[in-house]
Amino acid sequence: MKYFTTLACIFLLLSISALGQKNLTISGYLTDESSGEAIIGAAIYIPELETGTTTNIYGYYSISLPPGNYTLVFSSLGFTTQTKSVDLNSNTTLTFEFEEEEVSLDEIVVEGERQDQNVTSVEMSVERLDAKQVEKMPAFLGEPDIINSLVLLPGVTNVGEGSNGFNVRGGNVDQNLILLDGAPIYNSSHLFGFFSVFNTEATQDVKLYKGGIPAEHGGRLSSVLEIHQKEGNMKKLTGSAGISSIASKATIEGPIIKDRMSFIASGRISYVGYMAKLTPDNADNNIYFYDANAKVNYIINEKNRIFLSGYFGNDAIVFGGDFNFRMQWGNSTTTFRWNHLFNEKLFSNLSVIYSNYDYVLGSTDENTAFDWKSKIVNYNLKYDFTYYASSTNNIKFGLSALEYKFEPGKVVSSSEISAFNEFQVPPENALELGAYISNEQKIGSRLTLQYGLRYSHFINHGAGEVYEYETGVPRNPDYPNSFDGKNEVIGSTTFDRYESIAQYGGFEPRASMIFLLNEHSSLKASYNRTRQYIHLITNTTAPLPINVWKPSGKYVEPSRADQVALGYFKNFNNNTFELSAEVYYKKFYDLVDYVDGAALILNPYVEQDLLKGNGRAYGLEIKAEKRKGKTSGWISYTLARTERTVHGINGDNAYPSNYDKPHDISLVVYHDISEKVEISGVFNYSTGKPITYPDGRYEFDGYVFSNYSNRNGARMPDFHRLDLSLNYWPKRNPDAKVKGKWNFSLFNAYGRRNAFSLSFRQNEDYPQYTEAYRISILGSPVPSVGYSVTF
Amino acid sequence: MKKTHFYIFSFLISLFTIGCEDLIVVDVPEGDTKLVVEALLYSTDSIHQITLSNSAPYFDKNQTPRISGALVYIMTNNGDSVGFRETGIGSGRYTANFKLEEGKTYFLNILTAQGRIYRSLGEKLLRVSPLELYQSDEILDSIQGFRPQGYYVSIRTVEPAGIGDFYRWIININGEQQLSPQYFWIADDRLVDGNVIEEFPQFFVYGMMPGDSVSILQTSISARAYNFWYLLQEQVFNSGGPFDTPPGSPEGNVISLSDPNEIVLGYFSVSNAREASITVRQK
Repeated sequence: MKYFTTLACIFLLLSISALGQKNLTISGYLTDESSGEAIIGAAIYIPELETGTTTNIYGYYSISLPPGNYTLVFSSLGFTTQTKSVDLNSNTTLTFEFEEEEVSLDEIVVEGERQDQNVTSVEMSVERLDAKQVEKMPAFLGEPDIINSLVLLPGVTNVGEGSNGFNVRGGNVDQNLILLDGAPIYNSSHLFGFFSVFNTEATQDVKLYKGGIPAEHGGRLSSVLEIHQKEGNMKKLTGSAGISSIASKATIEGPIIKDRMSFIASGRISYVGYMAKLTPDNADNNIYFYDANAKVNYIINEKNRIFLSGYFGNDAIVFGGDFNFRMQWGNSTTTFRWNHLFNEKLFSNLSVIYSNYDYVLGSTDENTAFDWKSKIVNYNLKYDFTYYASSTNNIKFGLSALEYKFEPGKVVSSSEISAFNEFQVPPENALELGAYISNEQKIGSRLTLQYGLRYSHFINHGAGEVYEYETGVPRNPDYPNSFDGKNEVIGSTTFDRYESIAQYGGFEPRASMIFLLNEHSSLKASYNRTRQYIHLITNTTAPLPINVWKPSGKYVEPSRADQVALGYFKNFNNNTFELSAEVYYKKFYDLVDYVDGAALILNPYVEQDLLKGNGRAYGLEIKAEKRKGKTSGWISYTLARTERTVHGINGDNAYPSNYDKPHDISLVVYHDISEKVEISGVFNYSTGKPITYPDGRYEFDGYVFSNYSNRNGARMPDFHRLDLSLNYWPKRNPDAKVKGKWNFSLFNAYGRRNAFSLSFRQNEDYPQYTEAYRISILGSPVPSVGYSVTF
Repeated sequence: MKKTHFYIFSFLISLFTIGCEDLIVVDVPEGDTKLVVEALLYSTDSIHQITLSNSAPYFDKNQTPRISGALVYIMTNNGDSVGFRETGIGSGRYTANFKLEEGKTYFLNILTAQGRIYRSLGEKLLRVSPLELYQSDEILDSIQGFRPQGYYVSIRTVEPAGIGDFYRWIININGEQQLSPQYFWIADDRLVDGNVIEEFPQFFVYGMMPGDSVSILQTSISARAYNFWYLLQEQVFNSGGPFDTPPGSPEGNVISLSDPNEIVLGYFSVSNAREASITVRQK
């Protein structure tokens, strides 16, 4: 009931603003003069009224004011601040191009955002990375990587070097909604986690919500990672190409119709496997990845713009010779967007999104020939609206429908004499519906509230087959983690196309507030509830490309999380330094966990191996950043804990998650030595990850086995690593047509052997002895060289 | 699948040639001492052996303590019972001479010298097919960390129709039981039900030279025993890489009647078995 009260309040506020004085609207698009691309998050300030607004992700702004004479100050970091006088006596459109600020070349400038955004925006728990920033960081094998850079931010961790995915504030890897131009990405890694699927050359910027997730996003518990692909230069044809120790890439962008229509196309291909082939042992083996990005952007007229973007990527691993094994996996996405202005106050965006993740494993050997295929496909229709109601209210609302098709696994024997039978885990289908409304409301000059409500509804539907178990559930809760807990399959029910199998739904309240203490500091607070209806079924340390997503259904429930966060934000020295400190507390409900020895792959009765649990995470995150000048960078410190409590695991006691790292410090420094040379360094220190130690050994059938009791009860040695890089521009002047850049990286500079894990096992020569081994993914410094050109 | 993970991880590590592994010293906790029952009975044996021992601290380098002086006997579902006798004082090894019969269910009973009573759940002697061994026609080159140079020997068998057969194989090379991960062979028939099984790289014994003798015991195991061996397999294949699953303690089928909360390690199983041997020839 209380939700309806909240809703009623929102509508009441709406009607109050509608009843107010007759306001007029100033609106328009802000673009970059050099490329014609939209400027996101630029500030528009009206000193007379001490109010303002910012541009949205399409560069659009709108503000309603009483008639009068005003000064409008347009500002964005990296661009010259512009002042315009407006005599407002009718609705006014003010669209113009921003000139890039004349900055000395060797300064790092984080573009496209208001200078004091950190302090003045109601958003909190948000991290941004600019692709240019990422490209200047030291890179593993010289290949700049967005996700490897993200883990340097407070609150973001992973389970170790070269592991798939990332963890945000105690959340599992599958709790991140990763959106590439709005399309969900189901596996963000190449090469099992050494690199991510996002090519920095095609990326504009990256925004990560760790908390305070706005109502327009739903579907995952812990974070939203928005990756915007570049739009393409509207003015002139430009391009870039690069070569690193592991991959080559090239990008071209330019106008199709000057100032109206642009395109960008980018491709990347790795040759890591070809290097490996040079060693005789690997002559028949190969591993590689590639990806392609493309986008077309068309301004039809003042009121209509369309975008079409796509991504396609693939990984392949081949064991040749007599082994005859291959494995391939990849994502592909397509996004169509239509921005439409109904009037200067009502901005809309219609998105039609397709996303697919699939893999295939197979052997071509005649006797064991098989193809094993699996995929998740989704079609998404979204309609989002922003209503610039008044200078103090900014309302967003929208609808979304997302249809999923899950094909968890199908084995096809591909030769006549193959020993494998045809086999299929029943496919599942689901529809996820969402509706939201939220309002950002300014109260006076110091207080801004953002409050909203999302309702999500999930329908697991036919055509499908659902197994029936004796006693009605797949597991007996009295034997939580035991062979005897499996209930017998007694039959199955077949459902027709679109017939509902199971339904879940619920409200997701979201709220944030900011209170400006003074011009340079603020306090923020936020609360959000999130619901997640699909789960990545994985029990390995890091997810594998062959893990499958499972929708909530008859036997698997959706997960839920609640998070509160409080923060203090302060800028110094004319926004040169930014300081932020946040504390958060997060509870997780109904998370999926796994029985010991769970068979999660190609198992039609996988629900028999699933357990249910709760979790919590809490922490303090402090970050100090220098944004301008010859030396820039940040230092961050995170103090955090994350744990799980699952009936049937660890004697029902709470245990730390695999990525629980109580202390985590990152230092990122960029320094310009001269106009042509810039260096950067990254240092990371964290507490060792939790590990389960054996508490005894025993002999059985010739083997010596370990007995384990306290899940994740011990810790591995502390982690620390230093990475360095040097960028050198032989001819760096703004008039040069072609600019080349050398990059020299030294990853793991002092050769630290960080433990990925400890392995407990028998000595090979003396099987009686049991020993502990430290496994390191990087055992020595890794140098690399890269070269890139832009034209 | 476990093996594929294992090889992919090794391959990735070799690919970057920067990963490494070294021996380290860590302090591990010391848990309670637990009874370990090793009672794996095969239809091919006439003398059966059961070993009782205790678990020991992890880095202890001695043989784990044996449990001597216990009363050990097996009962069948129709009430027959066979007593086991300890061979050698303090050996903890108990033997008995009898034949297992297909279709019968067996129970293990233990009464220790301290008066503690243990009993297993019933284990039925299931069906198993005969098998043949054959060798490859050609010598395969070595692949570092994966296989040595030589012929391979593999199995040929017919999986009987009907899902629900579980297998474990025991591999002997030149009379020695093989314990390394690549010889930890267990399987279920879900994907191969009713088919001829041959040329399965999963069941290759690599690196054989002329004169080497290989013998393989193909044994049936129950679904519960498969679950137990599957968890042991995860331990054997634990490589410390990103593809490992959290270590769990395999749940045995021996229960303490004296203290229902007591954890008993090990397993009592009866397996129908068929053996085949081959001596590798020059080809």
